[in-house]
Amino acid sequence: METETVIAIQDLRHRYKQHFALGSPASGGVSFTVERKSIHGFVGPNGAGKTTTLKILATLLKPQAGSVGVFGHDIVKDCKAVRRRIGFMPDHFSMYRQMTVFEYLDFFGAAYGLGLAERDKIIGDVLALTDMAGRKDDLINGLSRGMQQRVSLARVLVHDPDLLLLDEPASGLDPRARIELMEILEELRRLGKTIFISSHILSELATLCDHVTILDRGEVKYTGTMRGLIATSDGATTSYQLTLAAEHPATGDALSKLSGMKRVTPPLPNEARYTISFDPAQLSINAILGCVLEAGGQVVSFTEDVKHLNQAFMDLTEPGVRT
Amino acid sequence: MRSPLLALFIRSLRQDMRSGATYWARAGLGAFFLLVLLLFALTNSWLGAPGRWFFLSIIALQMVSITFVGLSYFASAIAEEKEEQTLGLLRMTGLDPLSILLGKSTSRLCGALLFVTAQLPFTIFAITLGGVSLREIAAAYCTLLAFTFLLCNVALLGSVLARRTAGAVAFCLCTPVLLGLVWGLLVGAQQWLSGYSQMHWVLGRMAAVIAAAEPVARLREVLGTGFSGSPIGRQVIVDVAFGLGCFLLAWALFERLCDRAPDKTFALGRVPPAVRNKGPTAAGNVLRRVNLRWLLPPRVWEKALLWKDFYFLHGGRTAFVIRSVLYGSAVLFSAWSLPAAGTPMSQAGVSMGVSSILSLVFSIDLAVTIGRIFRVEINEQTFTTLAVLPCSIREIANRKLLACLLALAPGAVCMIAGQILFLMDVGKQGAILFVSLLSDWATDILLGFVVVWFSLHLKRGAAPLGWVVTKALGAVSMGICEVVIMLTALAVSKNGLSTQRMVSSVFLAPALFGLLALGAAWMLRRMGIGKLEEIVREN
Repeated sequence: METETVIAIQDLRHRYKQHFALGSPASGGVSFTVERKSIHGFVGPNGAGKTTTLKILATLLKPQAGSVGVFGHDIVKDCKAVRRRIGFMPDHFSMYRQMTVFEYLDFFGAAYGLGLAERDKIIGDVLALTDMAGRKDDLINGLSRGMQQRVSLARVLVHDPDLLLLDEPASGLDPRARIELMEILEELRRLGKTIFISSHILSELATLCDHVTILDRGEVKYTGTMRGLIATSDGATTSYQLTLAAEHPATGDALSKLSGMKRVTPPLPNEARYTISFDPAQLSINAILGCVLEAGGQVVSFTEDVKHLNQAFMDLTEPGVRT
Repeated sequence: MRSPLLALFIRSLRQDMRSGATYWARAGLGAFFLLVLLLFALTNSWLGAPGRWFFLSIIALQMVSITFVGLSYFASAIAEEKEEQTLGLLRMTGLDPLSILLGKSTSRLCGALLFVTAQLPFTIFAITLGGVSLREIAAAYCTLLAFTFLLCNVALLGSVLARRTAGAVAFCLCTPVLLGLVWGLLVGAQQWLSGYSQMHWVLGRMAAVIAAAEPVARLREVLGTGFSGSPIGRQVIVDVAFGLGCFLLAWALFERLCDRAPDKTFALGRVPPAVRNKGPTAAGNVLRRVNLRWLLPPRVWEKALLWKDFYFLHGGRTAFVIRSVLYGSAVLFSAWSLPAAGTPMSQAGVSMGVSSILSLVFSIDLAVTIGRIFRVEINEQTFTTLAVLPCSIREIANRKLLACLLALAPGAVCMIAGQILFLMDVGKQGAILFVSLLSDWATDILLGFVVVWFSLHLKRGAAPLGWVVTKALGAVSMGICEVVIMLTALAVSKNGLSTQRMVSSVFLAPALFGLLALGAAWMLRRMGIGKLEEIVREN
């Protein structure tokens, strides 16, 4: 039975001529794991070491120190076994533009050793998934950038890999193409694929990913669930946003008097939104809502206060350019 | 502040000066000349006037090098900007056409001229070895420099006219043919108008000017015995004038033609999109009517890389048929029509001619074809997607080489046919010459790996450079092998060698050279795979 951990990186270090791309003597190496059937975001500023990590995972680069396992295989010793189970989409458009979409996919299917019948079936499936079935006889060169990216994704899927390594797949795409690409990735997750995605477009990662790793200057700043990253809760204090139908000062006063309530931030003028912080061990959500209703407030929404991924990213990464 | 007119020119010169490759190339050339010099010094006792032979070899080599390497080096000046669609960016900087032409082409010309003149100190040694005078050396170098100037500017004009470097190279290759035709027309018209003395004279002068542009005739005159003319002959003046004319024409046409971007969808062996897509285009209907669908590639073969390279890099069936027809008709035409036409050559002479021409054409075809197999993937950044396939870089390289061999198969088969004809015709000596032909094959194998190695390091010009380097080093190495074999044979034999045994020992040289060439090819193959792995890591 296979392990639930798809990628296991332990103390990974890589150095180019002038600088450490991953890890350093002072901070140690990069370590994190990626779970099966998850969409794992991989973010960091330029030069953080994302592409180096992806290249190592794609077996294009040998790690200089540390260990990298993919589906339990060592990427150096079992390189071919790893390659059969991964699909790598680099950050640049690398396509044979003189081929038709079908020829392109057929070529990669054959290169992965698939038989003719198997190729026909899987190419049909991936074309349907990427919504390119109607353009299969078109030359790749004649396609828009968004469509070329879909073909690129179809190429990654043609040998039915379990793990997709996507380096900036949405870069350069227009909003529609980007949204459609994200929908395809959602669909792939439902099909049981594990997706490791590097991107700069944080808003989309926030909605798409369930796990995230933040890398800065070759060091892991955060790795874990997306919820854990954006939640403001530290265990002892939880924050919620309470929006009322209209300004109602009595509700604010009533909430402040509750036992376990730590802070009630009054709304801005002409707004009826309170930010409340409380100790979840002493005070339940039901008790808070009961208090609001008793005070006569009309609740419009009551949601957990989360940080935007942008904010989390800015908090965790350092300003300036790596030297 | 420096004039903006020269900004790009000075930048290009600076880049050349700072590049390590410039100095390595010059050092390599110097070392090569010293090697040739050593070879001629060693054979001093066997050759009369070794300095003359040395100088002749160097000048012949330079002529070939300038023609082959210069073609791609100069022709890409503007065309490469068009291919990469960066010409618009250059123009946005406010550089006028003259600045761009000076920066992109004249800087290359300066580099080439410096490269030629840097050899002068080595060739002066020819005077010491004897058989050549300083006047002859000066005249030969003036001829070469003027020819370089002409070639650079013709290539620049081609580069402005064409959308791609290949088009510019084709323009350069067509220019001497066109000039030859014009010359023929002028001579014909001159004879026809012999009654009109003024027209007769004008046409005669024009024909003479065109004929004077040809550098080989001038070199023959300079290197013939007893040359005492001026180093700056008519050829120099005509070449410089033609070159200037081409530069001015390129300048005049630049504005009109600089926005022409290459059509990326076109590739030899591909059916235009209009034929594939069932859109109601007129062109598509016409092409469908003439049934060009057979040009379409079949389903992917089991050896997918072989299929991809054969159909999408080497032109597929179209190029295969064209090669078969051209090589095949060359063999048939040369082998049967020449003797039938009453040529006073022997059958062996004809077959040797066929064999030599086919070998030359095949080596050029090989260099051009093999020079693209990795370079195109690197330029278009597609090698990364191949590198993640479940096979090693070595396997990928081997499959790509196999596809190249498949594309070149018609040429190879015809060349072997020509060589078999030759061996059959020479009779008893065939066995000895067979070794020589094997060494030619070894040279071609080495040529392939040299070109591949250059193509991994250079963005452009790997094929001509690899061809010239292989041929030049091959000739020198063969000479060294002959000298070594002769000296060894003389040292081993106590009573001196009979002529028969000396000739036999010299024929051992191709065998030794063949082994050396194969060894070098094996080393280059290993280095090439290392370089490919480095490219995958860095891209």
